[in-house]
Order: sequence, then structure tokens, then C-alpha cells
Amino acid sequence: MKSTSKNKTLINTILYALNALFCVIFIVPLYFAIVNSFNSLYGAPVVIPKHFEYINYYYAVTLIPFMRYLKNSIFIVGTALGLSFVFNFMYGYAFARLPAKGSKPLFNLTLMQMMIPSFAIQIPQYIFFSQLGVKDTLWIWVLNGIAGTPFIIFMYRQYLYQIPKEIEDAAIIDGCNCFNIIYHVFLPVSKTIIAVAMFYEFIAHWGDYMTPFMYLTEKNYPLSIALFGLKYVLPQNPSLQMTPVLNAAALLLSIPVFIVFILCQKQLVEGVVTGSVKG
Amino acid sequence: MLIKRSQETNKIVKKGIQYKMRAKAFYVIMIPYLIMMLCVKGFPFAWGLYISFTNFTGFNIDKLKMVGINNYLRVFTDNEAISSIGRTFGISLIVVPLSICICLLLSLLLYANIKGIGVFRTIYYLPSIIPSIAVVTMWKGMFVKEGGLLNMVSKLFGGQSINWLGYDYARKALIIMLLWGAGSGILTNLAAMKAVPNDLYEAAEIEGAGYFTKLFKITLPLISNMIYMNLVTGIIAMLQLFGQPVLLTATAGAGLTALPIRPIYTYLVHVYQQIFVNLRFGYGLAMVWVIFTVIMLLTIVVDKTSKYWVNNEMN
Repeated sequence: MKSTSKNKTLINTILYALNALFCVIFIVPLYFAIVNSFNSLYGAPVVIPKHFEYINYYYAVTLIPFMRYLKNSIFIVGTALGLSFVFNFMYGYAFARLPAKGSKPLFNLTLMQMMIPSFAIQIPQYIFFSQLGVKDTLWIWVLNGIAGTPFIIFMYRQYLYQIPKEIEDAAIIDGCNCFNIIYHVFLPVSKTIIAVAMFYEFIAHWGDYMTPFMYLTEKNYPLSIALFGLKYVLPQNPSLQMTPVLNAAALLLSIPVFIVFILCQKQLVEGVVTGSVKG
Repeated sequence: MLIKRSQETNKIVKKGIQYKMRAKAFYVIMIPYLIMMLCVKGFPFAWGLYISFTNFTGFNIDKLKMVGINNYLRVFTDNEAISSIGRTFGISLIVVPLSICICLLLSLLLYANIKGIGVFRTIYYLPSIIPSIAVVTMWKGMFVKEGGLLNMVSKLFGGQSINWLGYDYARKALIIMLLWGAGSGILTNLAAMKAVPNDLYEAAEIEGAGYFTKLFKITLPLISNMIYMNLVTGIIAMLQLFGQPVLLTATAGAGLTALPIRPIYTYLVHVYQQIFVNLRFGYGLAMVWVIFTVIMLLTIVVDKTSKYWVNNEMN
């Protein structure tokens, strides 16, 4: 008996040690970027912070039209997320709860789309739309939003499919139509999976540089592409390498991602299975 | 008797109406889906296939010439295309298996259910969701020759300082950076591990099985569908590797059309060069279709082998 408990502490210690080791490895690049985003503009990179230069963050936001980029980002991500929520949920609901002729082949088509790598759609789509003169508008996000995200549709479908039938009976007896049922019955029970889907969509659109690069001009660039290959130039000293400011900008771009992850963490841990276990 | 029957018929009638109503709602919902999917994705996709057989360069849409399979032949005679696909495969062959193993290891470490699991999980998972532009900026700071952390450490141990972003080490640097995001699958892996019934482990323990026996005989087979998923998505993601190399070692050019240095000049970078710089749309689309076919074939091969190593009984 004694030996097993001893064994257990030993195993736990080893596990902690390994976890700690990997955590250090995984956190180091982030730590180094954070520390150096506060570093002096004129100093060499440091491992242990000596002083905190908040001015780097000020430069990161003011030397480029940061607020404009941020506004564009919010517009794009907002459009994409809003449409994704409304349409993908409806599509998932229709596949899961509305038996009709043609449902199965359409669903198979959705599954097939999941297998197609994104560039194989994106590139021809860009060439096609550039021929039509579609440029510099949010339309491409609107159209793609209505066209649905196959993976998200699949996730909603899997989740809504396994909800017991009885839950909507009361609503049907009350004479609710399908859209009322969605609103009063299925939306409230799907909070977890909606959070997971929104999280995935947010990550995909917030960091996406490909679509904005193809369809937008500099004026309408969101943050993700605006920071791409960006060089900060200090008016007083144009030749100065502003690595700390770049680090600050990169961290500012990452902060929303951290926040969204922490907000959705609980739902992600619970709901992540639904979409990933092939059904 | 009569009343009962009429009630039953009522039910059937009601059911019939309901079915019709539901089918109608289904079609109403599906109309925008089908139309938009065909217009925005399906049609451009098929049109791209057609264009890949023409000499389209962006301005000659009125007098397109069919060039047959010339564009495709050119892909296989274009030295850049062939060597870049080799490079892409080389990087994928290292990154995909390694990240699957790292991800599994991290998931196993987290599965032990020790205190502080939430913190560990967050730290492993975060790097995989940070926008890649930010990831590259952070890692550039690590790799830089003067004052990069990696060289600081190597100097500490008396080593030479390495030009990580130079010709000899850029590939290794890129691989290290990509492996930083290996934690992307830990949430799904963990969920799958938690779904393994506990009595299997208990039964194995009674028979005196050790940790590794349990790992290889129970855990791994039962989460093999997750490994399969990680493998397929990993292959697809790595073969379309594009942004990271460009960002990491951009030399000539600006933004996304910049050229990365040779050792990490991947296939998709070559495709984007053809399309956005040289405006060879026909050729570029032929290249897209070649790598698309390769990816599809690989997926099919993996799927065919899956019956030997993927356990599907769980679902």
C-alpha cells in the first residue's frame, strides 16, 4: 500500500516536471516577444526586462493608421461571424431536423466540400471575381458567408441531430413554425456548440490575410494583412530598426485571440468533440 | 371504434402536414445555400478547371485559346515547380509526423488530470491559434542573428551564433516555428481520451498491464480516429504551406508577393508568384489542379490504409 502511494507521488512529480518543461518551451517565444515589446528602442533584445517602455505600444498604434485597420478588421470579422452564425446554424438545423427529399445528397455535397483544400476554391474564386470587377468591397465575405462553411455546418448538424425529439414536441403542439422552433427551442440548447463554432470562425477570419490581400486595397486592409511585411518608421530616425514596436503590434493583434479563447475555453473543452468525431 | 380511428387518421394527417411543412422549410432554407454555393464556389471551381486549359493571362478573355494539356505538361517540366513540390514534401514529411507525436505526448501529459491542467492546456493550445503574422513576428525575434534568443542560448553554451534565417538554416527555422503550433489538436485528443471507458483500464490493470501496455493496447487504438484526422488535416495544411515562408524570409517584393529564400520556396509560393506577379492565370490554375489532385490522392491513400490502423468501433 505504501509503495503504491509512493509510486503515485513519483509519477505525479515526473508528470509535473514534464509538463513544466514543455510549458517553458511553448511559452518562451511568447515571453520573449512580450518582454521585448517593452524593451528600449535603442537597446539590444533582453531576456529579463530592465525597464518598461510603454511608448512602443503608443508607436505601434500611432505610426500607422492602426485604428483604421482595426475598424476594417472589426467590420470584416463582424460580417463574417454574423452571417456564419445565422446561415450555418440554419443549414445545420435543416440537415439535422428537417427530413426531406434531397437532404442526403446535399449533405454529402457538404461533406465533400470539407475535403477540398481552401486554396483550390480561393484562387479560382479570386480570378473569377476579379474578372467580374468585384474589388474592394465586403461583398465577397457576404457571399461566402451565405455559401456557408462546410465544417461549421457539419458541426451544427452533428450537435442538433443528437438532441431528443421530445424537446420540440411541445412547441409543435403550440403551433410553432420551424423558425419559431429554432428560436425558442434549438438556439437555447445549442449555446455550447455555437460558442465553439464562433470561436473557430473568429480565429479563421481574424488572422486571415489571404482574402483581404486578394480583394481589398490598402485603404480597406484589416489588421492581419496591414501588419504583413510592415516596417515601422520613426520620423525622427528613419533608419532605426523598430523591432520592439513590431513585437508590440504582433501582441496587440493576438490579444483579441487570447480573450476569445479564455471566454470560450469552457465551451471548447466540452463541445469540441461534436465536430471532430466523424459521424 | 369510430372515434379511435378518426383520432388515428387525424394523427396521420397531422403527421403528413408536418412532414410537408418540414420539407418545405428545408427547401426554403436550402435555397440560399445551394445558389450561393454553386455561384461562389462550385462555378469558379469548375471555371478554373476550364481556364487551366487555356492561355488566360487576365486581359485576353475575349480571345482565349485552348492550349490543351500544355499548361499541365509545363508544370512537370518547370524546374521551379518540381523542386518546390519536392521541398514542400520534405517539410511536410518532417512536420506532419512530428506534430502528431508532440500533440499526442502533450495530450497524454494533460490526460493525467493533475492540478493546473487548465493552465498547461492553455499554454499548449495558444500558439496554434495566434494569427500567423504575429507568430512569425515573434519567431523572427527568436531567430535573428544578433540578439535572437536562440543565438543567445547557443552563445551561453559556447556555441557559434547561427544565421537561422539564412540559406542553411531557414528550413530548420521554419520547421521549428511550425512545430510550435503542434498543440492545435490537444483539445480533440483529450476529449477522445476521456471518452475511453474506464473499465477497460481497470480490466487491464487486474491483468497486470503497465502504463505502456495500456497506452499501446487501449488508449492509442481507441483514439486512432483522432490521429487519422490529425494526419489528414496535417497533410492538407502542410502541402498548402504558403504564408509562413514568405513572412519569415521575405527578400524581394512586398507583402504577400515577396519571395522567400530558396530552401523554403514552397509550391504554393510558386503558384502565387505565377498568378499575382506573372499573371499566368492558366498556368497557375493548372498548378493548383496538380497539387489539388496530389492532395486528393494522398487523402484517398491514407483513407484506404486507415482500415488497418484506425479503430472505428467507438462510434
